[in-house]
Amino acid sequence: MTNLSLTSENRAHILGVIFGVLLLILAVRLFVMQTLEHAKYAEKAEKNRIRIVPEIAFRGMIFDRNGEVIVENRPSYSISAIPKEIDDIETVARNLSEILAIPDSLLAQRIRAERFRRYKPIRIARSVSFETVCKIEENPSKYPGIIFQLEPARKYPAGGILSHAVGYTGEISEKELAADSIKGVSLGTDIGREGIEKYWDKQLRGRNGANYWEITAEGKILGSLEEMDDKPAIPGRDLIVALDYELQQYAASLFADTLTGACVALDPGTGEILAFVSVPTYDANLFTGVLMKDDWDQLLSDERKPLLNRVIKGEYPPGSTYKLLIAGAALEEGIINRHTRYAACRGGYKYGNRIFKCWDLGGHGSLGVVDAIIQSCDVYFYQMGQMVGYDKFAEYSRKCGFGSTTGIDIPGEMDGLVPDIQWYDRRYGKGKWPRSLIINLSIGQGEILATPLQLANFYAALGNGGKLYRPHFLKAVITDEDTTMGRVEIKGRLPFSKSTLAILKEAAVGVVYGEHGTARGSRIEGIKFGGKTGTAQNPHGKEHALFCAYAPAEDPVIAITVVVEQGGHGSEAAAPLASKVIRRYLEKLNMLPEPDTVETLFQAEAD
Amino acid sequence: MALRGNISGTAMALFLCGLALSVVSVVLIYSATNTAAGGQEGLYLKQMIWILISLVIFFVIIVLPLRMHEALSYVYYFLLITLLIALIFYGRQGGGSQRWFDLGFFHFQPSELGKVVVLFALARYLSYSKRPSQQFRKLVFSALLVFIPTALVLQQPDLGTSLVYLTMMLAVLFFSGLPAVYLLLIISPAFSMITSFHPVSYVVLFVILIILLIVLRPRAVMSSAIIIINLIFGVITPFLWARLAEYQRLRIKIFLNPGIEELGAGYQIIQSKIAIGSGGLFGKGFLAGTQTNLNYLPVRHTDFVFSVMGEEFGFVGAVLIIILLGAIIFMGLRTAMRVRNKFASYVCIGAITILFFQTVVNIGMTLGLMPVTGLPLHFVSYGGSSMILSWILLGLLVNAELNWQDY
Repeated sequence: MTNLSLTSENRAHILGVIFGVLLLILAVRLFVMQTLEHAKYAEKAEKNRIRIVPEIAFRGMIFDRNGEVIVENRPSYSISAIPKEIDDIETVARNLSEILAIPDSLLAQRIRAERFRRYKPIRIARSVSFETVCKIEENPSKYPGIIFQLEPARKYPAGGILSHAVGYTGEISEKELAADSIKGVSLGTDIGREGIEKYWDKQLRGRNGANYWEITAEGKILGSLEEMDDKPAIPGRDLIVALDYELQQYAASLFADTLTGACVALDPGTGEILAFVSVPTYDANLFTGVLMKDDWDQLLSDERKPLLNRVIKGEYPPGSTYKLLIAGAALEEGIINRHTRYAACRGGYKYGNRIFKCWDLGGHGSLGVVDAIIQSCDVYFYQMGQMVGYDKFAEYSRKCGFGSTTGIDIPGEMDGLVPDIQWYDRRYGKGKWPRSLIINLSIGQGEILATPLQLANFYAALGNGGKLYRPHFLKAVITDEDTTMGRVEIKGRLPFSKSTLAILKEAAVGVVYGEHGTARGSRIEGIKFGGKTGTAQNPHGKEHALFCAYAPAEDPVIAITVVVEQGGHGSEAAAPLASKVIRRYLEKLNMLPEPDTVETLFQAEAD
Repeated sequence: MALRGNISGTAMALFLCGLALSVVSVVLIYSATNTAAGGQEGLYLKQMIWILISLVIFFVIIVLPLRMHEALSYVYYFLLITLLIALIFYGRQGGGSQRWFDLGFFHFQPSELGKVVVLFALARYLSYSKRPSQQFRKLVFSALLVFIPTALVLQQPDLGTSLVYLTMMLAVLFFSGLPAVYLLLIISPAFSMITSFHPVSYVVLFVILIILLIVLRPRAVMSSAIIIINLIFGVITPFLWARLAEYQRLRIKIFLNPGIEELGAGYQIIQSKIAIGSGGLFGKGFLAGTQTNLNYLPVRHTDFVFSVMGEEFGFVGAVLIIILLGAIIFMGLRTAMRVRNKFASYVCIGAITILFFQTVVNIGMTLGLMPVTGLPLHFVSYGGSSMILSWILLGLLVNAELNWQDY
């Protein structure tokens, strides 16, 4: 056997080699860890000992166009537990459960979760009332190791009235935090979830500060870190938005509790949004702090869909409010002139085997285009629409801002729908659809869908001479140093010549002030304004009532669209409402003549 | 005696290495226990007292002739076995095991001193059996001699110390001239244990074993013994595993996969690696290690004292410990080779193996290369038993070095 030939010296050498190699491995590993991998471990050591305690920045406030506060911050309390200072977790959890309405098992589990860093405060409740905090203060022996901290929370003084415009905030989730590349955010930060709060979040949010503490393995704070300066929080910027809070309140009040619908008003000269009402609504204050599950379930299960923003997400057939667009297209394309007449209206129009009814079964007789608009004669438009055709219908619709978002500065806007031949081919199969669809489209019914905002913007453009502005809320961003004005942007122009526009505007004024105008019941004395009623088919029930207008007729200062779901005729349900909003706004601007001047004016007219 | 003047240079070097490590120990324990986060102050003073006591014992060991231990080795052995059995009935419970007698001022841990006692008994036995033809009997008796105390220590339970006994036995047996095939007999069951959880590798191991047996051509009795022992170990290991204490199983599991419990025992290894790695080349400076100072480093004055060195004095400091311990081991190996007396030679081999094994296991643990076994670092870790044993082992080496011609 070979081993026997090994001398004891050989064996010692073998042992020596084994010892040497293993010790060398240790030394090499040590060297690798302390040189090549040093940076990695050094960073981990720093992470161990440094705790960054965020100082939550105050979100910016939001003011309306008159300087009224519409969103502000209120003091709120959060409650945290320091596990190290709690001996009997069960008892403390039970005591807390009584005042916080959170199950004690959940509380105990939260407190127990941190096994090693037992000095680290664990946040167990946010947005706790002052009364609850007082109860803890008064009875410290009942709540050992429980601390509370003051932190800003959002307050919406308007309650639900502005919720669809302003939106609300919510605490950032760990997942979002990992994805969000914006600096200055940390757990516990509220970020915008909807509306202006979301769209302008970067401006409003500010930047959280950081306090650097040195902590032990158990999470005990030893003091401020010497090598690092604390970073103060930078508060968010304040916003001034175009909304007129008073007008908004008034417009919202006009909707009876049982109604659903929308009312949006904008400044035709800039695209600024003056009022933005979607009913029913919800109280944005519900979302600040802890949203109770019951409240949330109720909002979600409500058949009237209070969370739906009907101004930008409600898609309705525009009905007769679309007739101005069709007429404009026909005039512009030379299909008609202002004197063109079609076969007289006898209450219906026969196409193939089918009869398309006019809304007035008594019939309108033979009319020119202006009177056809004023009286909203469907039969006239059935005949004219066929001449316009699918291609021009789609082309003019798009140029007037339909079928795509307006670019308003809140998230979630819908496109609406402008059907064209390609769309019908996709929907029904190539060529497998009736040619009569254009007849419905020409009175704004059928597949065409528009949002109230798109309609308001279109009427604003009619009023201002053809400029399609981007509707927007933001008027200005304010900081301590300076004020940045919001952008006013023209997105497009109506494809109508001056003469076409003049005819359309004459017709629009006639709708309200003409002898046979469908909205003659909604006149405002002392001025003239233009508008158009609409009644949109609703497969689920009674028709939706629409009214679009701009006022005054010359140099308008307000354009408005009102939709009352299942309100029936536009002239009855929507037009009076819009008229009241217009009147109130003109009053505010002192644009209505004094009562006695009105009389003289009328006198003069009568004469 | 003529050469003594030359040789005492090595003896002096051994002593100075031990002394240097002891000084390092006091410095590190001071840093480890006087932390901003609060620790046990004053332990460094206690450690200094242990060092003084150890030095006294060291000089006694140098003066006492090794022949005396040789003569008394079985008496020591008998006393050790008695103590270990007594421990089962009268020992002090602590940390999930029963290892100490509580002597009031001191926790006496027989298994620590037992490392030397078992070494004496083994060296004595091997130095008296001379005939190569009795190799097999030699092996069986040696194994028996070591397995009895090993089993008693293992049941405490103290896996680390029992591994020290076994490793020491292997090195001494190898040095004493045991043929490779016998080592195969002893070592192969360990591999059977490890592979027994994985049938395929267990079969592969068996194939390798049979090939080795064919090449080495031992006697039929030996071959069948090897096969049978491996079969037995392979089969019973899973049952033994089930009987291990939960913490032991966890330690082995965590060693195999440190990620499984970030905040448990795996936490210790992670924090130790962070401490050492963040130390860099020159360290963060005395008392300036954040991992040490803020209590992130666990049991830092005992098991993880090396990590304190790595953090506060960097690679330069940490490698110094390895160099000093390595120097003792290699000087000891030289002494083992030159000393004329067999008993003294085996004692030297055993002593350096104990030093070596604990060094590799302890430092390997702090670097994440070895499981957490609870073995202290010789000369450096806090603790009386460990410090005294370190200096006894050093005393034995110096004694042999000083008297290499006489024995």
